[in-house]
Amino acid sequence: MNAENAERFRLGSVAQRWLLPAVVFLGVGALWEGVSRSGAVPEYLLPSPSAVLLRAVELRSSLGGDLLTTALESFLGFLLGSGLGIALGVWFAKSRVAERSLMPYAIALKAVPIVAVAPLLVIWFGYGLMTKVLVASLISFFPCVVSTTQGLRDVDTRALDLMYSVAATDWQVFRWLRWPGALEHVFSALRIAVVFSVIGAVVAEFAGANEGLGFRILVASYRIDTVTMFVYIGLTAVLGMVLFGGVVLLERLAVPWSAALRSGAFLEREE
Amino acid sequence: MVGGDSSGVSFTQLKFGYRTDGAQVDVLDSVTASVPEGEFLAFVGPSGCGKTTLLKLTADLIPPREAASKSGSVSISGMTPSQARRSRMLGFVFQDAVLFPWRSVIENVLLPCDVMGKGRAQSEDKALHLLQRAGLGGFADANPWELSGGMQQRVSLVRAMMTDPKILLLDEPFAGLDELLKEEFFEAIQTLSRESNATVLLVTHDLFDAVALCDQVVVLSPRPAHVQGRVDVALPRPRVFDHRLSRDYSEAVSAVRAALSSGARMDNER
Amino acid sequence: MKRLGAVGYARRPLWTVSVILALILILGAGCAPRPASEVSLRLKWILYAGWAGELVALDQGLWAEEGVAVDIKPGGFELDPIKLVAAGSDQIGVAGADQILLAREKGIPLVAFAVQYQEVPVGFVALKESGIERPTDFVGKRVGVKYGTDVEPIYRALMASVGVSTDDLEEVPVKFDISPLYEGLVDVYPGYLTSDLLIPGEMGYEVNTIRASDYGVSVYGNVYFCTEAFLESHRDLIVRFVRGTAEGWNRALKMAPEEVAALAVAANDGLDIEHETDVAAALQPYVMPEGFSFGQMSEEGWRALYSMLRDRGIIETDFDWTSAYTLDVLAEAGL
Repeated sequence: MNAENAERFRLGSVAQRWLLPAVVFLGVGALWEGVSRSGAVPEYLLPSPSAVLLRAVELRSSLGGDLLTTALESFLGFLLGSGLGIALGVWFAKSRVAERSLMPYAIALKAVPIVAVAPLLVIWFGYGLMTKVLVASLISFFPCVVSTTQGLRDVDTRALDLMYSVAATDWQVFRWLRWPGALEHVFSALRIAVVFSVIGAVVAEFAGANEGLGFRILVASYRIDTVTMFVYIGLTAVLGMVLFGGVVLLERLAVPWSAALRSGAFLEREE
Repeated sequence: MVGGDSSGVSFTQLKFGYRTDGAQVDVLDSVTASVPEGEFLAFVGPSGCGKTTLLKLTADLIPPREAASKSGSVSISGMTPSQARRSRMLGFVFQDAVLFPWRSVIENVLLPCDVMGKGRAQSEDKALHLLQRAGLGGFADANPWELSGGMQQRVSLVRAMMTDPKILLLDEPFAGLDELLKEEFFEAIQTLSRESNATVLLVTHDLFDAVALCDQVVVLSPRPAHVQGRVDVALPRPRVFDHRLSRDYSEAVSAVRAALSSGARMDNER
Repeated sequence: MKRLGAVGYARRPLWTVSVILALILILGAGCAPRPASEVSLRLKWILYAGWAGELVALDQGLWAEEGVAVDIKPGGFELDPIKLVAAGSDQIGVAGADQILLAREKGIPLVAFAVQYQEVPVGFVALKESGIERPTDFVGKRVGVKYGTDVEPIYRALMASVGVSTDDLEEVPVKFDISPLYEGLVDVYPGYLTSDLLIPGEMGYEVNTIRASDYGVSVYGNVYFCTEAFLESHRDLIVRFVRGTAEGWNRALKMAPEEVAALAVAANDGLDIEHETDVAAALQPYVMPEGFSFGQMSEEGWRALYSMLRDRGIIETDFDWTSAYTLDVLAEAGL
């Protein structure tokens, strides 16, 4: 095969990015359907994809409402958690005293399992939206703190020398060097945080709710209605992916240079 | 050479050392040299001898807490390095271009102006002009990663010139540049420094480049560095590649080589 | 003796491998199949006085007399007897009769062979000062609802039977935690009259109690069950188990509540003896009301439960609910 033909067969990277996961999805789906149909696994343990899809269609009128509820809880929780996390990260980067005194508590907060904390928060704050937002924010704030602090500190010392050589103030260094340089780190944390926030919202719903994806999963679980559980679990996954994709898109807008840096283009000195 | 001239840069018995893990490391051992205003001086010596430290001390880029012992002095137009840095008289070109990827080429060049609070409107013309003189006219809006290494180095040089520095300090500026790029860079640096009659100090391990570009080459010994030799280069300005073929050039190169290989301590006081 | 940490055990591969192998062997030994007359009994909840019959049967060796070795395993939040018995981890389970029907609807081959609680002890509690004394008083109030539990359909059936529309009141999601009642988050709190609903009284609050069966909603509570396959292969064992359990309950309900409570606390030292005494004292009307013998089941009883769940939409498809239980074991046990 000569070079020209080889070019024609090579897919563009965009097509690759969509095609490959789609192939895996369809392949696994087909395999799963086959296994279910063969009767090797009882339906109450693993329902077939077709059964799940059918149930989703049956539930279509109420799906939207529950999805929106959980989406709102996750999104607001993510905003609050990441906002707080970034703010704390900025403070920690600036003040080692603050970091040393408060970081252990941030870690402790992160270490406590959210499933244990959520019921407590429900007792304190009730069964409304705020509790879900709080739980989601609790779970999403820690990665942001760590990454922001690290990103702000992790600055090229030569760049620092540069700023110093033109007698830049600390604020100028933060504004033009540390913060833009930290954005990559911040976004990698945001990508994690946004997915965590969905988990937080669902866990909070388990602890006390009367609507939302988590609530539906709980009720379906009592009814041993695995098919319905899978519908809502699937939706949770979709929600997570959509929010994740949103952050990735935002990153592309806010940090256009990170793609170039990651591909190493910046470091190559080819002539 | 007259030492103690208030313009230009002079080093007087500069000693420097620091403590690490309880051990004392002596970096500079009584370095004395001077360069008149508007001229080019190169510090040449083996890798690790302390040339970069010398340059950084001149630029006041070594935080005081790191210094265990420092004696002697550096005078920049009669000021201390700290005063010079704060009056923004210095331009520093690092070994790597250190361009900010979140700024375009021209925005990188304008960074010192942003820091000094000079409006972009007034500085943009100057930035474009200097980029032009450095041969980068069409790249003002390009992203730093789109430029080759040599071009990035030139951007770094233009950036250093934006503050109209009286003193230009360059740390191994030719590292990573091939011969053609080096010529471009030579041209750029001479053009730009002539505009403000800047004094240029550079540090390099390549004695050929040092002789080709500079008026004076000071040879440093291995650590702790002291002056091992000094060679004046009597070639006309502007320097071009053909100068490398002249006899004055070869003689100067030989002198520098001799100084490098000898361990003799030459007379520093003149 | 060499201390573990003293040597970098990563540097002693042979030793590490030996330890791991030993652990595997020990764990494997623990997973050895049970001898024929041994069963594990998975309860729906943690050990407490509500399992009075089982506690007494164990304590007085009543199962041993029948030649059955019973290993009681408590349940809890994530330990579901339905799933564990269906998967084969445990042989006999105790779970709500409603759960058995739900499982059968999904094709899980479980079968109930005896009833534990003839009446599921679901009730509601309200602070006396609220003035709420009967279900019709729920109108316009904040009523706690335990979504996704067996209490929910009974609450809905109760509202339907007294003619109150849930649109006329405010439903508030609650969990197994009574604090919303005295924190003022709810006016009415639902639960088990043999468990959480006893707590406000113990804490000194004056409360009004509503019993679902007083208003016509009375269905089976917990039942004993196993898989169809196990019943077929170990029928005799099940029969002997039932006999032992029946004797346990008969004795337990005649004992002083303090004695039952003591057994409970001995089995689970996290319990409070006062609460467990109250629990033990409350059991009889639900476990074995007047006129009932232990374990008694009937088609009518199961039909009532099936209808309630079907009407509430909890069970979504018609299916043969008679397959969910068998009366034969009780007959063979002479009960």
